Order: sequence, then C-alpha cells, then structure tokens
Amino acid sequence: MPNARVLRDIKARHGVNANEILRRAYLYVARNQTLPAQVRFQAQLQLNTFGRYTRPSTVKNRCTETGRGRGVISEFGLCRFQFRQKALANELPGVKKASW
Amino acid sequence: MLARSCRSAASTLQRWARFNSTTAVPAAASASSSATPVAPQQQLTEAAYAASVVHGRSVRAPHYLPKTHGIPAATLHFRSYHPRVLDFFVHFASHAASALGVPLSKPVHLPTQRRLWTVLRGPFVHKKSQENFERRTHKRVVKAWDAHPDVVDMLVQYLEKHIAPGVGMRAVKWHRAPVGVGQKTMESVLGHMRVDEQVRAEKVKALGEQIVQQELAAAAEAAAKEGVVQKSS
Repeated sequence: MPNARVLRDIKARHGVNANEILRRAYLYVARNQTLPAQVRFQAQLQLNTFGRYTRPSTVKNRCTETGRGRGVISEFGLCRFQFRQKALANELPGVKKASW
Repeated sequence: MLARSCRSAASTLQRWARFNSTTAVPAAASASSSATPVAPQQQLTEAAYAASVVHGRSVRAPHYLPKTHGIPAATLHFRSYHPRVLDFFVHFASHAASALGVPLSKPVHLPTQRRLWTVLRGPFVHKKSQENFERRTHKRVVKAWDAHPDVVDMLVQYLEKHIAPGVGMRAVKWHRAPVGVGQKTMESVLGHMRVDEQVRAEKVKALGEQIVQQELAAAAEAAAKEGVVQKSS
C-alpha cells in the first residue's frame, strides 16, 4: 500500500491531466491584455474555483520505492538512499562507484 | 596490430588449442598460425587476406578495405556503458563490413561522457559522509565509404539483428537523390498540410478580381447608355 502522500500525488496527476486544457483556456483569457477587464476578471474568478488537485504545482516527483519527496534523482526516480542501495547491488546499469 | 579487446582472446585460443591437441606438432602449428598473416595487409584484397589466415580470422584485426572514390555512404555511432563490449562489437562490425566489401574507417573514440552523483551514505542526516557514483558513456564512430546504399542498408540491418546487449547503435546514411527532389518533397508536404489560409486568400483575391470586372462592365454599360441618351437628347 503506497504512502498517503504518494496517493495524493497520484490524485493530483489525474486531476491536472483532466483539467489542463480548461485551466489553460481560462488562464489565457485572464492574462490577455487586449480583452475587456470584465471578461478577464470573470475568467480569473473561474480559475480560483479550481481545486488544489488540478494545479500543476501540486505534482511532485517522488521516490518510486519509498515515496520520499526530497532528495529524488529524476533519472532513476529514486531517492538518494535507494539509489545508493541499488547502485551498490549493481541493479542500475552502468552506475559504479566513482574513483579518480 | 591485433585489436586490443581480442589480444587476450587470441592467447586464450592458442592455449586452448595446445591443451586440446593430441599430436606432437601442436606447438609448431599453433606458433605458425599465431603469427600475423603476410604483411602488408593494406595492399592485399579481402579474399587474399582471408586466404592467408587458416583459423580464427574473426579474432584477428579486421582488414580495412581502401576507399575507391571517397564518397561518404554512412556514419555509424556506437555507445555503451561498458568499453570492452563496445570495442568487441565495433571489431565485429568492422569484420562484417569487410566481408560485405564496404570500405570502413578505423574506429574513432569520441570523448567519454561522465555523469556523477554525490549521495549521502546514510538515510538520515550525516552530511559529512557522502559517496560518489558515476556512469561513463563510451562512444565510438566508424565511417563507411563508397558502397551501394542497398549494401549499406544490409550491413546496418545485419548489425541491428546481431547487436551486443548493452550497446546502442545509430546510423546516419547518405544516398544520391535525383534532380528536383526538393521541389517534389515540398509538393508532397503541402499536399498533406492544411492550407486553409492560402486557399482563403486566393479565393478572396479571385473574388475581388471578379467583382472589379463586374463593376467595370457595369460602369461601361452605364457610360454607353448615358452616351446613347445624350446622343438621343
């Protein structure tokens, strides 16, 4: 059973995926300088009604093994400790202890 | 001039042959077969070089055929995290090209890319003790010259079929195109594109011209009628 935070992140990803086009359209209207102020204001109010699981800033790359939010290496999707464990066990292709 | 990765393989083969042979002349035979074939390799054709080597031709350095016209046919890039596997596969590729009669350049070592990660050793605190991990990507490049494009395609397909695990290959090919290929490509591309803007503009222009002509005709008629009226009056 994954972490509660991981579940929240999954929910956020689904929400962002479903609402991306709608959010972008409202954002375009709200930021457009040539449109009348009333229309822009209405668009901004609509944007404010969206929940937190539709905002792209809620999405965070987490460790795929432990669900840790910090110290994640994007190339492997692992947090720093898991990366070290797997690298020492030769489970990551081409990764070896550096020495120079 | 043995390939670096196959030097140990050659000596291993010799030892194995000597170990397994039962006749009294193995030493002499192995010694003679281990001697590199009659130099100079560059002036021999591939067939002559092959004929001079009895056993283990694939273990020796490949015969690089000379360029006939100096026209580039393809560039093959090889990348891997493991340099020995990479060198072995490039050696294999050179042999394959030589067998197909494709003049190939000697393998060139492009600069190795190195990716470094410095990571805390423990799962919690202890910032002062860290560990370095790296991943080195080794690269080799080989150029093919002068061969027919179909032969080059065959070589690339053969290498793709028998690629060593852990090695990635990328082939950039050149081939001759007939005159006017650019225009034909453009036409085919435009045929697939949505050209609404252009079509609309042309239509508008055509409509405009039609209107102009209509107006001119109407004006001419009006002028003619006026002339008639004036004449009559």
